[in-house]
Amino acid sequence: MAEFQQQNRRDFIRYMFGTAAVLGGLQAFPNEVLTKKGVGKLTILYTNDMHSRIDPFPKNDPKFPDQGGFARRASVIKQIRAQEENVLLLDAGDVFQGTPYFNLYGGELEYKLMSAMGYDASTIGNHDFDLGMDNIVKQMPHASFDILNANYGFEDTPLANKIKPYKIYHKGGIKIGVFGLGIELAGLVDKKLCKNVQFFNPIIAANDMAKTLKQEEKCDVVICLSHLGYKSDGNKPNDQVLAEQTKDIDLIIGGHTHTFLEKPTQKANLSKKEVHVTQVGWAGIWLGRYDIFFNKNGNTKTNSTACIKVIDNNIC
Amino acid sequence: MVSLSALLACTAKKISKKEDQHYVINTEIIDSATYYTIQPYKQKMDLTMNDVIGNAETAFTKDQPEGNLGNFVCDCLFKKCKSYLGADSVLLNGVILNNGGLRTSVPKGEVTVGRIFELMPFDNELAMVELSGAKTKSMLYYLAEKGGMPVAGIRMEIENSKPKNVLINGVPFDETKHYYFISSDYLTNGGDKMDFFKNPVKITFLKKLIRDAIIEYCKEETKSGRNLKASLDGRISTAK
Repeated sequence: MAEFQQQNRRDFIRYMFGTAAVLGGLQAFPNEVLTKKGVGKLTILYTNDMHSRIDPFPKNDPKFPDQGGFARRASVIKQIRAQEENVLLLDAGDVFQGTPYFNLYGGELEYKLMSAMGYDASTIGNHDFDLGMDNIVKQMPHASFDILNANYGFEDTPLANKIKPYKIYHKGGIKIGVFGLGIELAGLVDKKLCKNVQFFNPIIAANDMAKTLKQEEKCDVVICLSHLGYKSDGNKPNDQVLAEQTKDIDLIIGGHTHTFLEKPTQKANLSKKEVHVTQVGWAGIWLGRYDIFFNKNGNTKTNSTACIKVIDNNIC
Repeated sequence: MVSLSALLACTAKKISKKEDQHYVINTEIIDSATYYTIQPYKQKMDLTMNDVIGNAETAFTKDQPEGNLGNFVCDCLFKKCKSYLGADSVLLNGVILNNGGLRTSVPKGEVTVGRIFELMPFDNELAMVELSGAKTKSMLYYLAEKGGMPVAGIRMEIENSKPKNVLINGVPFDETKHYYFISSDYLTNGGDKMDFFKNPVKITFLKKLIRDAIIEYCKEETKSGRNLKASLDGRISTAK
């Protein structure tokens, strides 16, 4: 077993794909980083559809050999926390179902490990219902993070008063509003598992939440944790439609379709402002990172993301 | 305008730049506290889940219009259900599942109980549905429109998202007949919008989990000295 602390940083950088830019950058400008650490910057780390994949896929896996794993992700998150002051760790749902860890322990270990990693919030995916709502209630004491949803009505269910629509987080003077959205459950989740859960239009709920968080609560950043999917059948709302038909959302962290987005998809919202839609596949194979830099002089500029590569996985 | 944006900057911070990236989680470096939290759960799980129940000759993966994983699962359920059904087994025409329900691939080599749990983590039960000819036709159109789903007992071509040259048990599809298919109770209850399963002529629940049937099949093949085999046989193909 190799432990992170025993490794030198060069080894760490060598092992990681896609991190050289940031970690290498830190090496190149150590003084700047030491003096400016975390000032005016928010680092959002995120996952979606981790599907109880506690251990990495085995080395002989036909599709994702030796990828993923909670203990590895925890070490990466620790490394980033050591470098960044203001870290928000989020998940877009379907924490549960997919390995015998869930069949045997009902999600207890998933919630415990997410709590230890310092997750701030998750939302409810369709598979989080797979052992019923009583099971979610049973596992909640193991979760120190918030489970957010703004478009399900839980009044006559075991989850009544246990799910908040949104939460406001404060990180180093930055005010971040986070809310959750869930997919329509009819035809997707067995009726006996989601009995009496009411489904409300996610676009309407999102506009309501975003207005509250941006206009009334004056959040600096508004993030939606969505389990609607990057794409959808027919005219059902998905994350791209959500981005276009809402305003006051800065970032949509999506799930459900297990879509590996190499770059976030850029959309113009109802007020012609830029929104990013992102998703990092499934099973904890990737950890997503999104850094937001703040400028007090009001000068707004964003980098462009030209190359978009979509890899779809057809299980949800 | 300059003064207005300066005013706004006092109330909310302005975003000046955004950067995105992702980390592929494939490092050998692990967090020790997480590792030690997992261990007791893993050790208890491995007691039952690490049992080797078969040997896969090749890797089984999902694909469309057909994949060898879908073929393996449907053929295995077809055989197992014939034995579960006893005298009624003569009725059975085939099996239909959904790709979304097959949750992982099967690697070449040793197959463990745990891997079958990962393939079929849901506690879904086997159900036999008697469908009218018209409902069966809807099913065939559904299969074609979706670009192919895991099946057994059916051969068909897909042309412009429509079924063509359909054979059921080697005989051309006959809309005047009733057909009997095995599926999961999730799908017969309305999952994945398989509306042709609504109001069937008859539905029989076999009181057997799909996962248990697959595990039984793997054990039996191994006991008989056979490897687990799966191949593509063109049961669903795109019309040329």
